[in-house]
Amino acid sequence: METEKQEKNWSLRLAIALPFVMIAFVVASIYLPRLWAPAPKYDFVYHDGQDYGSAVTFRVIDGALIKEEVKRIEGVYYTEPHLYLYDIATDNSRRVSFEEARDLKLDGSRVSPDGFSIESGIESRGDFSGSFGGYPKPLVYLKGHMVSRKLHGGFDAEDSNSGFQFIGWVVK
Amino acid sequence: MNKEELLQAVTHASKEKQVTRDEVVQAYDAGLESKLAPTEGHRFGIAEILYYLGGGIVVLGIGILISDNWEDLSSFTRIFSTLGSGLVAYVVGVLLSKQEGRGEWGQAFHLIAACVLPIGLFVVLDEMNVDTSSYGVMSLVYISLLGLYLFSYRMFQKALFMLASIVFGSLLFVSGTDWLADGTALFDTGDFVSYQFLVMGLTYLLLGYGFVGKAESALTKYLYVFGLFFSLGSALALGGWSPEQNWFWEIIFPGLALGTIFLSLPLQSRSFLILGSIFLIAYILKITGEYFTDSLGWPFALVVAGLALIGVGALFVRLNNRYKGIS
Repeated sequence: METEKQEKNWSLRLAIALPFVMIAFVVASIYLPRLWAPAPKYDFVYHDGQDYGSAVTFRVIDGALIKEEVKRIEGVYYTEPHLYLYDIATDNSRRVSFEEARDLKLDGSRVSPDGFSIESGIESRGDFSGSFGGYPKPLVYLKGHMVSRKLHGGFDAEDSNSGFQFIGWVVK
Repeated sequence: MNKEELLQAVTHASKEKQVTRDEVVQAYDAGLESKLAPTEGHRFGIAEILYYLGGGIVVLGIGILISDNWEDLSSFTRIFSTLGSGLVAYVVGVLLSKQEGRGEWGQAFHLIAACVLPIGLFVVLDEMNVDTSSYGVMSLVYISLLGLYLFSYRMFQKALFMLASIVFGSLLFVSGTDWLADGTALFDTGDFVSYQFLVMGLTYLLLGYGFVGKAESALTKYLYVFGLFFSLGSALALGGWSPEQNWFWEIIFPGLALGTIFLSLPLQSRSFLILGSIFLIAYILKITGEYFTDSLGWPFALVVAGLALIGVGALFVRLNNRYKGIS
């Protein structure tokens, strides 16, 4: 009887401990890699156009930014994407003109010279009052060396087209 | 034997270690109609079902009334009608539970409080322009409610408070781990949700086992059912689908399902037998559809699956025959 009671008490203790074990594992897997991962060094250029409906496209050829007009289809609404330079040190971005971006030396690879890459998605957030759906804004992550970090700056500016298209790393 | 003699006899038996505290509590609870019976075999009567149904309909009514007129309500009215209703229901539940013969009415009001209080807290935060959809805010709400119901359980020793604690504890666990992992590669994997439910499922099973023979044993059956759904369902989902399957989970899952079936004997739980069998059948169908339809042809795959299901059925009947009279 006493053994059975001890078994059940251990079962209750293990039940309470198990969620904390998972939380500890989650914390360790997120924060431990940050201790040895190098700090990202390279800024990057992106534009806020969507996959479709952008009036122009941007490419990096031989380290330089190239702008190309899209062949327009009648009846389709096109938006002019805005260019941005993301400062990795301050986790913020600022809008730049095409001429300013063209003066930068860019690397159009997905992976930066120090081993990081950019991944993006779309977030849809509702508010409690019931107007579910919200207004989508881009979710942008910097990933590499077993670390993933959400980038916060400047993706939901008021006059932004709410898209995110990575163009290239600034290699100066 | 008068009350003094009875209490002295209990004291003497306790000193001689002839009875344990749990046995004394069980004997006491068995004599009361207003508390849940301390055995796994507790059955809800028609009256109890109606009380809880009534409580659920009250919550539904409040919800519809408030949501239909939400835009016309002031901040104070919104808070008063939600958080205020929840607090009033909680207090009424406490008062009714103290009265002999009205315990179930109290339970119904506690159910109303448990449903309405979280809504009320979110309304308060929303009126303060706090982002109620963030994981951190949700965690704050759930930890507050967990604290309230753990305190209530400690004070009043009702199984319903333990149930509410488990529910809010689970919500806190999900929102808390989402908050920690948000923005990381870990969170982006679809497996993260499966692991959350796996841990919750195992926790429920351990709690269910730990409650056997205690005052909360009425919750054991439900904890087993939800625990098995979450844990076996997660393990099955973690196996993935070819060509992106996870070999570890696909190989160990039949062991988990069979282990669940055989655990039904020592645990004396038909839930383990039934759900273990259902998930084993689901696994057989999954594997058949995943690996055999292209290579061996659909008809042959169906024959293999059918034979396997017959085997599972035979095992089920054999074990079930040993369970006559056990719930």
